[in-house]
Amino acid sequence: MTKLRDLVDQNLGIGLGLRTTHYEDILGKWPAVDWFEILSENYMHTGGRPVHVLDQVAERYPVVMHGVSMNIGTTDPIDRAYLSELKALAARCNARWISDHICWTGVNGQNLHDLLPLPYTEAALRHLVARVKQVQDVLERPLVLENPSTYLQFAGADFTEPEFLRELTAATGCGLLMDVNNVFVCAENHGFDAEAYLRAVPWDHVVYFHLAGHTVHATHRLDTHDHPVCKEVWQLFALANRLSGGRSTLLEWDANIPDFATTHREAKKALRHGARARERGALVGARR
Amino acid sequence: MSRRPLPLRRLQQWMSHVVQHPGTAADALAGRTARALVPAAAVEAGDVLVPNPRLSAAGMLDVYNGGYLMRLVEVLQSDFGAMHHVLGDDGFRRFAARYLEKHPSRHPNLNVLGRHVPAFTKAQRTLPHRAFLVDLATLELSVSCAFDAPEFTPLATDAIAAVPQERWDRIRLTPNPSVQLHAFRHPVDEFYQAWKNEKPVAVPKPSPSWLLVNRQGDRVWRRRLSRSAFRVLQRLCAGEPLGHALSTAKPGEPVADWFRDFSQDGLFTALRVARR
Repeated sequence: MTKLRDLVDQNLGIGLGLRTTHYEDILGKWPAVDWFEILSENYMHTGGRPVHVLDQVAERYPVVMHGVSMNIGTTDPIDRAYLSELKALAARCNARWISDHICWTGVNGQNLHDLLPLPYTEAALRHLVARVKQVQDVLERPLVLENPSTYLQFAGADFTEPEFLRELTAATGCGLLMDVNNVFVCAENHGFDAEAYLRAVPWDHVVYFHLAGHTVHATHRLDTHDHPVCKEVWQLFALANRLSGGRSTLLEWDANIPDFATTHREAKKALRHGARARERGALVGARR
Repeated sequence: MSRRPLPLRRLQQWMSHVVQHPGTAADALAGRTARALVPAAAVEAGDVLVPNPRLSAAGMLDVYNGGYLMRLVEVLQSDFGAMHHVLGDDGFRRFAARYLEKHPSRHPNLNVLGRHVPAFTKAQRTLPHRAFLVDLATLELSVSCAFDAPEFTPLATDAIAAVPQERWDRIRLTPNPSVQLHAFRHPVDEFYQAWKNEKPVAVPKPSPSWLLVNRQGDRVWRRRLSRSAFRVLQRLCAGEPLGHALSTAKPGEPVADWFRDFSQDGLFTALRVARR
């Protein structure tokens, strides 16, 4: 079983999400991107162009899998068929790690295709801990879980979010994907101090960072991944780098996606805020 | 009112109901189902959601409720773009909302969200151009299914050519998993191509048409067939012996050319030669 420490220490550099709109640029030019993150579900239940592209990308770049449908926090039974497919996909693309979100996506067998919040209670923590352990047993590797953007908080919480993350990681040994934009969005929506949040994160469990843009509405901020990263998030990212000593970093851009060169330039701004590019040839287990 | 947290299961059932409600979150919260799971008074008292100075409880839930329909309608619109063109923005949104009520997603992957659209369209008795839209939905679903069909290795044309013609009566072919054959009541592929070319045409009058949809490499192809070629290919895909399937063409029809094209397009993945 892969050790979490190996993932935390493996700084892949600055990565990009593999998106269909960029396939032509990527397959035609093999740009100097440190690594790619795929949306796992886009490469499951399909045998056509997506997997054909993925095979070629995985031959040349490190690949990380990021899912949106594990539904880890649901009270429905664990979907073992989904996990089997996830595991097979990870083997196929030699995924460095597999991540998803601290959330639930549906109940009663339905999938709302949204990252719905969990209450940060003792009961929810126990529930999540048991499920993360089961998933890790099936996947035979530590699961990496992302702090979500949320637009409501359930009353009666026993923990703040960083406390919840600390308890969860201590009990399961799972990793964390620290989405800095989500921290900022939640801090603005719920009125907490984003810097204090970052100072309370269990950094020894953080495997990588996500950066993204969001949309500002009159009443709340919405995690839309359709804008450049805002100034405040870059500042928080710099703090997160200081606190963590640096981690693999990925820019998410999922709507109104600009051309590949613009997206890549935006990602590389992370270098100005304390991120490191990948040292060539330093990867363990790369196919090439 | 007690501030004891609700059981997680009940909380999730409640939120799931509110998020999926076709109206607003306020409509959902006022309804019987939501109130049976979580009393409205508890929501109003701030016992369920932490109060937010900028948004009411319904307002916070509306962020999820609005996003749910918008996101899934967008997915359906992407898979059924020509249907969206026929129905228009509002018409398609209403159609999709009704569809999602009847067929909420139950799968981790959104690729399969629209799999019931043709049957659902057929059941919409008041839908304008319903019969044509059934054909169009079938074609658009077929393109998505071919795109996502499992991987396969096409049978080399040499492998088929190597079998002597006198043994064709004993050969059965296996179609690749992307192959789909459709007999339509309308010339739907012409309409679909015109829409793809951004030169849309009027909804056509009924006139039968036959279509093959398949994937070659990583590209999806559509080929209009004659009725006779369609029937031959249908027989081959059903596993009828090659010789027999080809013999059902009418005299003078270019059945050898059809079969050569089918083979070269990689429509088959295996051949079995039955023993006498």
